[in-house]
Amino acid sequence: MATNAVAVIEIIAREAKCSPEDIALNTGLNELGIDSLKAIIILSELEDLLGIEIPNEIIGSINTVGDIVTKLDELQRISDTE
Amino acid sequence: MTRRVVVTGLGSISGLGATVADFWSSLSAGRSAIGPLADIAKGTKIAVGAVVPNFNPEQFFSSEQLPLLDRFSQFAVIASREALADAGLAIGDDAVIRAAAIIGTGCGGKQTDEETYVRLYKEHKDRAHPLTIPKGMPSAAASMVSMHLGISGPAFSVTSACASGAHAVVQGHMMIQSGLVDVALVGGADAPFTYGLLKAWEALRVVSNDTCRPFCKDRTGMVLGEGAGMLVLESEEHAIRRGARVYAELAGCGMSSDAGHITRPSVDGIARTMHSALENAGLAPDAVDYVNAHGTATLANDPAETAALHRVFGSHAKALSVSSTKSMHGHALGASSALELVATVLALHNNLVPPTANFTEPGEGCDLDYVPNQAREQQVDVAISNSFAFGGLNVVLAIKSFPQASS
Repeated sequence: MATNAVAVIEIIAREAKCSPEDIALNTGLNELGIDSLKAIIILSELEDLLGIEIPNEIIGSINTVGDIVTKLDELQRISDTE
Repeated sequence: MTRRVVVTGLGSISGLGATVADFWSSLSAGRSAIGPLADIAKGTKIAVGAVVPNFNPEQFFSSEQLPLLDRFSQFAVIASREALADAGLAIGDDAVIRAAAIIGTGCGGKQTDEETYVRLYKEHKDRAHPLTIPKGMPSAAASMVSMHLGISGPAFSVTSACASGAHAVVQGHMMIQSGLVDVALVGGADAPFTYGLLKAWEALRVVSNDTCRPFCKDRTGMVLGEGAGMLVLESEEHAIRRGARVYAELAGCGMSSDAGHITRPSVDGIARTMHSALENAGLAPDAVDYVNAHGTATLANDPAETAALHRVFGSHAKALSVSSTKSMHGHALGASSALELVATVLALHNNLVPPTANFTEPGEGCDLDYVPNQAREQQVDVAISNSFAFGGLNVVLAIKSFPQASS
């Protein structure tokens, strides 16, 4: 699995207090009890870990674990090409 | 029967200026105080805010007084002085000596606290400033108002984040109703433009970098403001006896808590609070002309507040004028609900509804008349002011016109 996916799953598992094995890319954040506030905490940890800036606007468009991974990949592609 | 409570004095300082005249001339012109934050927000991602323009504390206080006054206390005292004078009362009057002073604040003396933390954590100094406690405590504003205005009745601060000022108003209302005091100076004050607080708001991801566009499709969050709003409340009997000018009757208050989520608003909670304010005021929903909305322009608030308005007002909802003046004075946290009550009282007094500024097109789930961009001349006999704080602490205040003829 790509590094971003591993990092995202690890951080979500910690916040959702479950094992990373219980989380797949198509797992819904709702199923894991990740509400908007927990999502903000996760994004903040990811910013720290990956050294990137995640815009506020993505909060409205992330429903699954995979959505976060896709957004991160996109953001890193953009910063790589800059 | 409980005593009726009337509003006889108004004071405000905000991004719109240091007086009620400044405040109202901007609100009625739809002029927003929101602008770029210069040095104050350096090192943060917060780009815009509503800061008190050209504020020089030395214009208001002597060099003897200033060392004890955090910025939020300065705002509280300045707005209190104005409200008292506007009510035709003066320091030393018996009515003022016996009055209550209740000030809502969401943050307290953060600037003072942070200056001390910089000394300790950053500069590794060994000593805090000796005035850190008396200047920074959340009740400092209440103490300063009491000391500066010679108020010797009950004085304290209340805190409930964005509803603090409104909760303070309710305290004054209840004290007057019960006969505990005849006069109460009530409102809220906050000064949230400090580095630590701005970083904390940045991390919560609810602050817009554009502007405050309540109820709009392209809204991107709230915008912080600062200042104080203060009102003189009085028993009807006391006001009439001294021949005071009455702006409005504070007819009723509703309070509730969501017992739910720490940041997400609840339609049930909002609706329950509006319903209880109307019931407390003895008003039918279809008597209401104007709603000064909580209207933060966050993704969560605006559709929830709109849904609650539909639930409480039914078919009358579409006939309401609903506006969020936060689009102009910003979200001044603990001061906001008090500033908004001042705006609501002035709307009723002047029969002019301030607009929702920065309005583009309505957002999903936002289908009411938000008085976009231009103030509206209309008869306002009954109005409510909504405040819903983080943590689900809700207040709605209901005012109605007061027939001066009865005096």
